[in-house]
Amino acid sequence: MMNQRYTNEELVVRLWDKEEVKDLMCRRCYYKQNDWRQRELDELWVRGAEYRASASLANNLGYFVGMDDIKTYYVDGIAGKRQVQLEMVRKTIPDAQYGNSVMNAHTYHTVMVELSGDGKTARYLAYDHGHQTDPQPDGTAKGYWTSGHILADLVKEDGVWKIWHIKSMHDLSIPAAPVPGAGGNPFGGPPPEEAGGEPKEGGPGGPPPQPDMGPDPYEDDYGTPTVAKPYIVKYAWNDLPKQMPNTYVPNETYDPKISYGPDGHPDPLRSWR
Amino acid sequence: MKQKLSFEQRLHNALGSQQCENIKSTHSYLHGMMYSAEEWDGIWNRSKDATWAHSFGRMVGFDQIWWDSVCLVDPGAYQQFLKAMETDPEVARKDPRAMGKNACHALSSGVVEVAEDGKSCRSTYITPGPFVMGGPNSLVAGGRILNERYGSDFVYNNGRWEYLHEQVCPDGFMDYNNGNWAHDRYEQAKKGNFTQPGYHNPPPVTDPGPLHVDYDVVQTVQKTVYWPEPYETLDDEHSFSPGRNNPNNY
Repeated sequence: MMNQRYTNEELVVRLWDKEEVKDLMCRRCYYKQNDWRQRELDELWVRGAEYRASASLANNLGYFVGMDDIKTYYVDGIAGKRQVQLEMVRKTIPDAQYGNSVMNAHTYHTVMVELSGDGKTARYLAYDHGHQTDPQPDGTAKGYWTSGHILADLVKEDGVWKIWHIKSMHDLSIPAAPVPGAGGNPFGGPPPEEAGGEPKEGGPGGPPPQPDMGPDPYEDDYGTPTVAKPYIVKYAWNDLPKQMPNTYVPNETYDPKISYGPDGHPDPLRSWR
Repeated sequence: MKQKLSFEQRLHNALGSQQCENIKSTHSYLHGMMYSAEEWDGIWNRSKDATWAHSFGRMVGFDQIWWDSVCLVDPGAYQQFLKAMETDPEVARKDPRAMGKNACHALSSGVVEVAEDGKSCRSTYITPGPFVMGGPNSLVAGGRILNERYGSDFVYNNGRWEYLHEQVCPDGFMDYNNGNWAHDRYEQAKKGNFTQPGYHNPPPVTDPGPLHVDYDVVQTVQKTVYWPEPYETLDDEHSFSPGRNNPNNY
C-alpha cells in the first residue's frame, strides 16, 4: 500500500491539507452568517498582491475581479442594502437596529477537494443549502429556503490556506410559508384515484403543480460584475464547469483554465456571449 | 481496534476515508449532471458482486447496473431535451444530458469507516437533496426536496478505491412550499390510500423489493441502512449487500 510518489510525511501533510481546506470553507459559512463580510475578506481571503489582483467572487451574472471590486460588491453593496432594509424594519419597529430582521445560514455539503500534485493549491466543490430571511418593503419579513453551488480555488500562502476564487451559484429561493395543497410522491405515494390511471400533475401520486415563482428575490443583489458571464439555472450544468475536482489523479499544478476564476473552464459553446 | 495498526496502515486508512468521501461526492455531482456512463465507468467496481439497490429492489452485477442505470436512463434525458427544444430553441446548443439539475443529492452527516485490513470502506449519508427545476421567467428556479439515506461499500482494488455496493432509501419526496407531507398522507390514509412501496415503473432487478418504503402515517421506523461500526473486513455481517462480498469476485 505504499504510495509511489509521496513519503509518509508528505502524505500526512496532504491528509491534513484537505481538512484545513474544508475548515476554511466552513468558517466562511459562519462569517457570512454573522455578516462579517469585511472581516471575511481580511481574514480568510488571499493576502499577497499577486493573488489579490486576480482574486474573484462570482454570482449568477458574472465575476467581480480583484479585491477592490469584490469589496465594492460584497461589503459596501450589501451594507447599502442593509441600510435600506433598516428603513423597512423601522416602519413597524421604530427603534430597530442595523441588521435587525436579517438572517441567513448557508451550509456546504457534498464536499469535493482536489489538492494539486504540488500541494500549493486546491479546488473545492460543494452544494450550498440554507435559508435566508430579509425584511420586506411593507415592514414585514420573509424567509426562504435556498439552494446553490459553491466552487472555489484556494492557495496556501505562507503555510496557511486562503480563499482565492469563489463561484457562488444560486439555484433557487423557495418561500418558507406553506401553501395549502396536496403534495405528491412519485416514489411510492398513494395510487392515482382514477382506476388504472397514471400519476398526473396535481393529483395524488403525481407531482403537484409548480407555481410560477417569478423573479428570484435575490436577483437584485447580483450587482454589475467586472466580467459578465451568466449562469442560467434552467440550463443547469451547461453553465457550470462539468470538469469537477479530480477524484483519482489531481492536476499537477494550478492552471487558469481549470480554475473557478473568470478564465477557468472556457466553453466554446458559450464564447458568443 | 483489535490489532495495533502500523503508521503506514493508519495513514492508508485515513487517506482511504477521504478518498471514499470524494467518491461519494463524485457520484452526487455526476448524477446531478445525468452523466450516468461517466459515473459507472469512472468510479465503480465492475464485478458480479457490484450491487445497486433502491426501494424497488437490488440490481446485482455490474452489467445489470449498467443496463438499468445508463441504458434505460439516458433516453429519458434526450426525450426531455427534445421537449424543451420545442419552446426554447437555444436549448439546441446545449448538452442534452446536463440540461436538468433534478438531482442535487447533497450529502450530509457522513459516517465513514475503513476496515482494519484496509481493503474496504463503508459509509452512510443523509441527503436533504433539492430537485432544481428551471423556470421560464427567472434566472433561478423552482424545486422540491428529496430526503434519502444512503449505505455504501467501497473496495480497494488495484491501488484505487472503487464503489462496490449502494443502497438508496427514499424517505420522502416533498415540496418546499406546497402541502404538508404528513397531513397529506393522513388525508389519503383516511380514504384508504396508503403509500405503495417501490417505483411506478421499476427497472428489472435480480432481487426484487420492497427494500424501503416512503413515509406514511402507518409506516414504522426503518433501519434499512444502519451506519457502519468499526470492523475488520468486508463480509456478510458488515456490508450493505449480504451475499455479495467474495473478495475473489472483485
